[in-house]
Amino acid sequence: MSLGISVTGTGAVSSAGADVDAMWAAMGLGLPTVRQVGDEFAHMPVRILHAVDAEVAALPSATGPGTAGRTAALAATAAREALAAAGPDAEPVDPRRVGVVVGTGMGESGEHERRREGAPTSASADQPLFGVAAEVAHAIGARGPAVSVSNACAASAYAIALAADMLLDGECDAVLVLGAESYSRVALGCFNRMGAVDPLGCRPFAEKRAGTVFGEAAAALVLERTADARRRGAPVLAELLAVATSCDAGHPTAPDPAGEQAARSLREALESAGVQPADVGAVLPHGTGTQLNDAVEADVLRTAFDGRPVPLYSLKALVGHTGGAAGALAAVAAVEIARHGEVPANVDVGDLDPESRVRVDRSPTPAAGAVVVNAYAFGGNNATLVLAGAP
Amino acid sequence: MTAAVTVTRVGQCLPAALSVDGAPAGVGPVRDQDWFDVTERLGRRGYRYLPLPSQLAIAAGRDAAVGADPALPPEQRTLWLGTASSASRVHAPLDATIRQSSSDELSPAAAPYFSVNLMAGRLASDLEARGGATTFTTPTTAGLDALAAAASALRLGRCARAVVVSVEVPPAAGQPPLEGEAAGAVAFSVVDAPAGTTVPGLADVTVRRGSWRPDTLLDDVSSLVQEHVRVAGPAPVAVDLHAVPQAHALIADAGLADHLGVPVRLTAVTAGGLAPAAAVAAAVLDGAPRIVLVAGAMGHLAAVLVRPHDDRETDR
Repeated sequence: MSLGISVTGTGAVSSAGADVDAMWAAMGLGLPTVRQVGDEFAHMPVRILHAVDAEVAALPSATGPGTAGRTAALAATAAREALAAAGPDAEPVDPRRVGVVVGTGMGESGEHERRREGAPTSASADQPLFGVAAEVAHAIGARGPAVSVSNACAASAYAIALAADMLLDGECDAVLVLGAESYSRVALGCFNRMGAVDPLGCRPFAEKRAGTVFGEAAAALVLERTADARRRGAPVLAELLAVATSCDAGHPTAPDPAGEQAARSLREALESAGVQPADVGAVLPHGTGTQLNDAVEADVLRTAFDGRPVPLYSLKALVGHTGGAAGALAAVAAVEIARHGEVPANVDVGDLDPESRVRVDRSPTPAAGAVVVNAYAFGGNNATLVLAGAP
Repeated sequence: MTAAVTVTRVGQCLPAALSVDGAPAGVGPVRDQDWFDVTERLGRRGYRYLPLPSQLAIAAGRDAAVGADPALPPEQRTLWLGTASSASRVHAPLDATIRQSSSDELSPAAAPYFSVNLMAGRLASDLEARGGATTFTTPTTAGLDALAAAASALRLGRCARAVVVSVEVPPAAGQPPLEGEAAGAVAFSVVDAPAGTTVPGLADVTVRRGSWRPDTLLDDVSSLVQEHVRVAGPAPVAVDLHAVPQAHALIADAGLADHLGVPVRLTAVTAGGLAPAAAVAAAVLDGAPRIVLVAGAMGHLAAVLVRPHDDRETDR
């Protein structure tokens, strides 16, 4: 049974461009852009990043002097696009009934890193690290709850799950869900220390994959109960059919090699959505390019789809691993895939791992039916979203 | 608004100044955690190598889960952790090593903890919380966001038991102190007990959330509190208000008690958010109806109604 929740607006800014149309066009071209970080204090072996090179307007801080941090500025950019799409001429929603939920693993870590090195920054010592939700709420005039969730690389998929519950439980009438992440020296340095950065690029499911590559991004989705959206005349871009989460409750960083809980998350999401595995047209995998993650996820997908090679779109090969933004960015891409009925050609990552046996096409593929998004994270966190095009 | 859920047990790992046993919690000028002996509290199974917030969370979370139904399937158990300050404390020394030396010099044991949700990782494992572990980082209200989300998940049938933890820590050594910041954790074991059922519990809690702005503060607060006052019924209900300095000053000048028509006690807080969570814990143990209201940093607003568990069926 569907949740009865719709996506009525989307926004995205990433290395693939400053809006959703630009990202969709870049998904068709499949040409990732990676560059060296310019941070002179980034003392680490691999210093590459899918940076947002588009001009991002500074966001005046509503809660302190000067401007908000870069993560909030990226988030506000995506938020404004999503809100502009969500029926600018429709009946407005009471601002006190509009929530903001931001998934971010690092918040404004970059601002505090610049503060610690003595560089100009928006961050004072006591500025909260995770003020992005509040800054965006102020910027758009939302007066409902503004919540920050930080489930690492699945943060914004969890944000979508929380937003769905806020709608289903009647706390809000609309929720702006965001995923947002900007460059953080701490995150990149720690991933270097763990040997988890691939100097040749993010190559999900590739035979020679050697880790991931971080990317900056923000993604936004306006979620509303479908009946409310239709009543106020908002466009329904897609339906959020189901959300499921689980936790390995095991190793702090490595996924359970058996993928038991990741598989349960996917299975329960499909069951909850009332979608048969055969009716799934595409999957946006978590697909980080790290050895174990991709191997486990490939097993999970093969089992869930009974060996049927469902077309995958590996977004991280294009825009990098955008950390806490990844789940929402993949959800925005899923909405576009559902709308267009097509999985774009995947980025060339070299020969695929023959053990993975997943379908990563290098040419566009028709996609009919539901679109699944997987998001996994440190701490054994697993989340699965099921979306479908507007009925 | 989230509907009421039932707190069945409170866990705590707090300095004496914040203790929720008996007297209502206040804010203590705690700058260190000499009162916390990790080996004594958690045992000798590698816990001493975890970051302090993780240790505190485990201590309080385990405490809250004592006596919970061991037969409950792990897929029905969830963990909800709120911490606004942990990442700052962990990031500062990691960044110093990278900046002044190299990422190669980072401790391989410490490096993964740049990811703040790992503060919940070991506790999720100990509790076998395979239903999900979610980490909130909202300034001031992270712990109450965790409580609100857990309540929704319980009400919507996504899990059968939630352990909710609020854990905060002072900044890392050498970092500027935050006024009033304390180290500690409180935790709640929470279930949903639908009307007509007889689940034993300490108190029922309902969380309402919103936002406040300086020019509408009284209306913002009233919009959350009045509904709680109505639900609480004729019994006297006090409001325990925790406010960041700006809101504190505005409220002190405006006469909030007169505006709401109920007793109000003002308490100053910072972005840490431990004191409000401790106040909820104290109210749960105290047994008298109370509203814990938080006007937090950056405009976050939350109000938690705590009522004796026996009141539950009359207004659901």
